[in-house]
Amino acid sequence: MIDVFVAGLRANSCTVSGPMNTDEARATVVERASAHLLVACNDDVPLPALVDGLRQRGVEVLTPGDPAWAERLADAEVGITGARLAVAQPSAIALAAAPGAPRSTSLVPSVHICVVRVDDLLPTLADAMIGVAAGEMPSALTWIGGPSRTGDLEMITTLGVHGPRAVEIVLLD
Amino acid sequence: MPKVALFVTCVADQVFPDTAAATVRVLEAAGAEVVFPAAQTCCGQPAITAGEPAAAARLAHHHLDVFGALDAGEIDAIVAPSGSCTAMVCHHYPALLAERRTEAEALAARTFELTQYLVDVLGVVDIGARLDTTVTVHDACHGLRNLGLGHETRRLVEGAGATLVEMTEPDTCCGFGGVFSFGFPEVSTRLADSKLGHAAGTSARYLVSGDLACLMHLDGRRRKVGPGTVPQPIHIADLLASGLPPKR
Amino acid sequence: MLQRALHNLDRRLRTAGESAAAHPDWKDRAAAIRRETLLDLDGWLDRLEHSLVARGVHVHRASTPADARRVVVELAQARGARTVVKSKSMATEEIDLGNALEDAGLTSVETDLGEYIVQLAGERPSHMITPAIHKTLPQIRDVLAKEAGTDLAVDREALTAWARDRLRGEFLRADIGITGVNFAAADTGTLVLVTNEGNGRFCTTLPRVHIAVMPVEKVIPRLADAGILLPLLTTHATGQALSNYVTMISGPRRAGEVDGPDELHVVFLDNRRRTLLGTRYEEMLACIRCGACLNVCPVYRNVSGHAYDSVYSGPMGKVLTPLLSGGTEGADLPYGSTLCHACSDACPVKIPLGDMILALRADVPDPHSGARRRRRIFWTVWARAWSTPSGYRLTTALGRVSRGRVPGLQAWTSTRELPRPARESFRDRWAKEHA
Ligand code: SF4
Repeated sequence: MIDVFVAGLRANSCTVSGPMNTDEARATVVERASAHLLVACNDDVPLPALVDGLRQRGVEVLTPGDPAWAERLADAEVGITGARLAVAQPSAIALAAAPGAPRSTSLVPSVHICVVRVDDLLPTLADAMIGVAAGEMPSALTWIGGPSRTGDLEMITTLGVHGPRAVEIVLLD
Repeated sequence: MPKVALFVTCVADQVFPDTAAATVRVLEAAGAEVVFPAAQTCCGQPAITAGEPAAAARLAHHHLDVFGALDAGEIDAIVAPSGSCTAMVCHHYPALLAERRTEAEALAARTFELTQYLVDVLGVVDIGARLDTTVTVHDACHGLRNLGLGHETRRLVEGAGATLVEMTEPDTCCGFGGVFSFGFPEVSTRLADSKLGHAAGTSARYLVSGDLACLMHLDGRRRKVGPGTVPQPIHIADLLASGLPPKR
Repeated sequence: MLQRALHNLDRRLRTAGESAAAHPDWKDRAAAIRRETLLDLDGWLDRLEHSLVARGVHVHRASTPADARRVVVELAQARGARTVVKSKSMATEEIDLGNALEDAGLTSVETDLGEYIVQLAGERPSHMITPAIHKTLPQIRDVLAKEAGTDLAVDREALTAWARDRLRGEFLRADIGITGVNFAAADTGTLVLVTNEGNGRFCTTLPRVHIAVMPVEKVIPRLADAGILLPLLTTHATGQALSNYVTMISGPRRAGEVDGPDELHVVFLDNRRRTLLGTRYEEMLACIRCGACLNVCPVYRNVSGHAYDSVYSGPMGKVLTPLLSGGTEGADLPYGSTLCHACSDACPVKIPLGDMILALRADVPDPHSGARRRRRIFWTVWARAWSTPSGYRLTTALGRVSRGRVPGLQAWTSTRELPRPARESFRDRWAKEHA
């Protein structure tokens, strides 16, 4: 199932790393984000001490509780989120909006890094939707299959038209 | 020996009598005895495609009177050299003749397109014809999508020893469409050109199909622009009959 | 251009079709869900309204396009809105909302890249899924460069980047985001929106107000049904296993959330749809707007979507346009079909489009009713003659004599030869041989 999930995401232009443990995942995310000045990070990322880790590397981190969030988000180059769940077929991650998990973190910055727990991966969308519908729905549940794309220019795929140009998935054991 | 009533279709009767005769020869070669109910006229398809179901129903009633009266114990099947006219009976009659639905369904159940009857009912793919030639197939739409035909023509072609060469998109419409070919001659002709182009790409000698209307359209276009390397459009019955030994 | 573009798409769809073929029963399941909905459309709509209202969503019912336009314009005016961003939606095209907003003094910006290009060019979309499919890259460059007021390179990445920056500004500025709806689940009160570019997400995230225009048949009984319908929709639309973005919205922004709209409105648009219930055309309301019937249609592939001169093009448009207009628009469209039934075969929810196109030829009132009357007289006389063997013999004999002098043959003979005449009919030959 993990293989199907990873293959599907890669086929849709995502980069995927892991599965790996918490320390490795944190290191991976920090490493990936450290080249950028400003990084937005949701509170639902399942990696303790991630924000501190980023700040130690000299990266400025914007969190949803920050009063300047709305104003500064447009300057963030990377958005880091967790995921409510993921499905292998068709391969996608699902992000639930919540006070600490704004919708725009995975939309406005050019790079979206999403940390997904392997335990949250389900085999199919059809199965997943039965469970999702039975639970409490967030104000917005956003399924993401890959970077923003368009086929509007002569039907040839171009990435990053409105949303992120890159989606990087870090799988957590 | 199975006994078959020929549902000749008005197009074959009036415009392509040789194809009608070839249909009889092919059926006989496959071991059937053929009768021709002389009171038959037209199944009504032209009227329904023109948007006049009431006129179509009138002819459908007549067709049902003529063929429905044939004793099912004596006549095993009703066979037409046209997927389109067969589809009219099988696909449209039950709804068009709602007040005689049971009769219409019974008629539909024993009406077959030629290749369907040979291959799917009689189980014959080699009728004794011998063809040393190359053939490409155009899947006529109504046979393909209303009757689910496709492999039958191909198996008969190969059963006669001919070489089958598939064209690109054999299942795309040739652009005839009855009143469409008059109402939208430009698009209709472009579709014919693209079908003929695909056929030419196979370098086959014949372009075979089970519907005379498509063939009339394709051949009409081919003759207008000159044959070039385009295969000769031909009905499956004519093709098979041409490979049969001369009639004694 | 269209031909090449559709060829690219066709290749992708054929591959996708193979993977969809792994679940042959999916079409059946999807068709069943859609038909279950139509059996009690009003009931499901009431349930949907109830669930939406419980989530703090405002529901408006519009029976005509004019009603729907009025609802949206009034909402915008009451909030002092100046700029509206729109995400591609056939429903808003159907009610011509963009123009209504402009007429009311608002700026309305299409944010789907293809729609944006088409809007700047002052044209109408030519394809439901890829609206600018009729334009080449240099043509697109010209349109965008004119808007930019500077020169732009004929380069896909560069043009996309320019549009991205420009539209970012619009999203930030906009007071209202307007979208369509792909599905709306009655049980949970959830709107499901499908996009690839992310513009739909912007429209439902940044502006203070989100208005969704929802044709009534978009309701689905259960949110779980989306698990079946979504993959089917996207594989048939673009060949993707799933669209990049599927947003499931269950109400406006909640306490403590830092983004999302404060207000969410849904406009239920009827526009004659409910009059189709119980008729032979009811199943047309099962349509999920995937565009598969367009992509396989030989006629559509040979003309552009513009040839249809209507919002909905291709086979589904030939059915929907006359039905939604009560026959005042698109009465000729059902004739522009070869009746090849490729559409019926392709449709993921098994709508018998070919049969409907045929039936509409009889059922749509002809605006030139004189022509219809003449046609009826001709076919009535013909049917009367041909429903007897003697009448058939007589008329075909006359036809043989007058061959080539039949009026109206010109349309055929200008590009195609007539078949060579047969000297003798088959029935005469048979009669002789079996005398
Ligand atoms: S009619 Fe069928 S194939 Fe055409 S757009 Fe609607 S759902 Fe898709």
